[in-house]
Amino acid sequence: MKAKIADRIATVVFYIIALLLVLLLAGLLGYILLKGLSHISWHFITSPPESFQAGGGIGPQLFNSLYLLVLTMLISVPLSLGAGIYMAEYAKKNIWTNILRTVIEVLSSLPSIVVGLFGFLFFVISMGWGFSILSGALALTLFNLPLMVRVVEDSIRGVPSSQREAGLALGVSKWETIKHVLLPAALPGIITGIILASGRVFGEAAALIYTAGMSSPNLDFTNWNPFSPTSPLNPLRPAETLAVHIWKVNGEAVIPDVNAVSSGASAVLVLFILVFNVSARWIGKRIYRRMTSS
Amino acid sequence: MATTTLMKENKASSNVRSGVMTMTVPDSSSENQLKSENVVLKTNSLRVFYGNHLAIKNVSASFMENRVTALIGPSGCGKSTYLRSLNRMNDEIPGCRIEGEILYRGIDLNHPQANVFDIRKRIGMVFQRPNPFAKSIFENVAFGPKHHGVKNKQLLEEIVEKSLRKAALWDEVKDRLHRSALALSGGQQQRLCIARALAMEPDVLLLDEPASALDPVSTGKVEELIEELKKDYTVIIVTHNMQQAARISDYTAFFYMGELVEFGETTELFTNPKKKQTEDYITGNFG
Repeated sequence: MKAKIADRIATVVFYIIALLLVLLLAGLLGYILLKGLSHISWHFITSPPESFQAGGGIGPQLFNSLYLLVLTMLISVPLSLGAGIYMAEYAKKNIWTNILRTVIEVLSSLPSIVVGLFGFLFFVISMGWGFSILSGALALTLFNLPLMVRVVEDSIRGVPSSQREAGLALGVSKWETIKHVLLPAALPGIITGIILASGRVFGEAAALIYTAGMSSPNLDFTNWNPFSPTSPLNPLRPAETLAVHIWKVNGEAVIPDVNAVSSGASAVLVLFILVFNVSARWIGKRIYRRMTSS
Repeated sequence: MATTTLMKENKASSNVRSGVMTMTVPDSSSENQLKSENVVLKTNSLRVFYGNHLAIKNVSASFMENRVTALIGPSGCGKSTYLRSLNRMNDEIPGCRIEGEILYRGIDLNHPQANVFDIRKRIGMVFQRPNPFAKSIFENVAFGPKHHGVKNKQLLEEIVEKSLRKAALWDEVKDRLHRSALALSGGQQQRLCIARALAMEPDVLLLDEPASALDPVSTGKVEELIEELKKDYTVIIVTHNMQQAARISDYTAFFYMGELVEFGETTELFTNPKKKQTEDYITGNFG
């Protein structure tokens, strides 16, 4: 009888905790979207910000965020795949591997402002790349890499070892087995991890303030020559992202519609991250179905 | 260097198959008195270590062409370890070390120049639990040949059909070759794994308790299949099930505590065991 009551209490407590979490998220999202959605218009998401007047937009910032995300992923996906495969399949169980794993864990828990300051000292100053998309992308890679390595390693480890044996028993080499058996089977997990990491990168501000900078030059969206200083693609130009813009507008902007701009920008940011999260699940499932042809 | 050895091996084995080279038959003085038939696979004083633990103790045995040999014995007796050393799958286990000789048609499998990929191609393996790839039925069977250089699509289709027919699975799956292998039943998955091994056109098939995870009907089908397979292949099967060993095998090897206690013709070993331990085991007194 006592066990039954204890069981019921536990059940109720867990339900309440879950409900609290859902309410918290719904409240937060609701508040941001409710306040911001009314300010979002085509004009708002495409036009450049104003310095002194009302009515500015977030066009370049939105573009910068997306461009920086793409560049960061271009650098960090191959690196994390390589490192993850190494950790899952090749690393021997010894003290060096344990040290390596600890290092990756510590790296993943570094505060992003510290990563940003390191980026500032190393990429911006020592390497002489200035406040630029390149410096920003490399700082974000540092910030992002440990988590992605972990995701890749865990996804590959999650593939049953019987699959590995099946490949090897057919006289297929280890690398071919990894490439054609383990990676396809791990792909849904890896893709989901990459998209979730994208959400984190997209919303990151602290690591970018001192690396990608807090300004954006006048961009000419008809100029796609990556070497031209007014081209949006130029990796050596400064690039204020959406998250940094929200931070800056609230801190130092003198425009009269500060609240409108920051609410609108926050809503856009949150919407994008929501899309990343939802699509992560959807794409992961779809890829798994295609891979297994079920 | 590796390719030349591979070619030499190829030539050697085809000579054996066409009867140009005659294999030596174990003489009657060896402890395993077997009829004069072709020996395909042979171990001489094989010792397998896991770290410092000696898992297989000086096992010498010969496996005959186109015969089914069953390895029986209680859990932990080393029969699976022994089987896995026959196509070097133990290479994958850290700390595993091998002493003694394993000869496949006269070729030392653990010779530094032996090509492990080629060995596994000739000596196929099917595992205890069905482990199809998370791919379509077709891709599962075509996987091995594809990775050993078969590019021609028509040829691949032929190989897939032939292998599935041999594994007695073709009629059940011919209309859904491009559907997921994971949607098959456990028994079908296991026959698919056998088809996948057959697609490599192996010479020897190692089966590690292939029916232990299956229901009785599927087990029956796999057993029938094994009877059929011995026409073309040399089969070595590990089994827990003594009735199964008695039903399907020509020879039986009884392992106990890492030692080969008794090895002989199945009928002989089951009706007239020479060692006390064998008798105790097959009559169910222990194990």
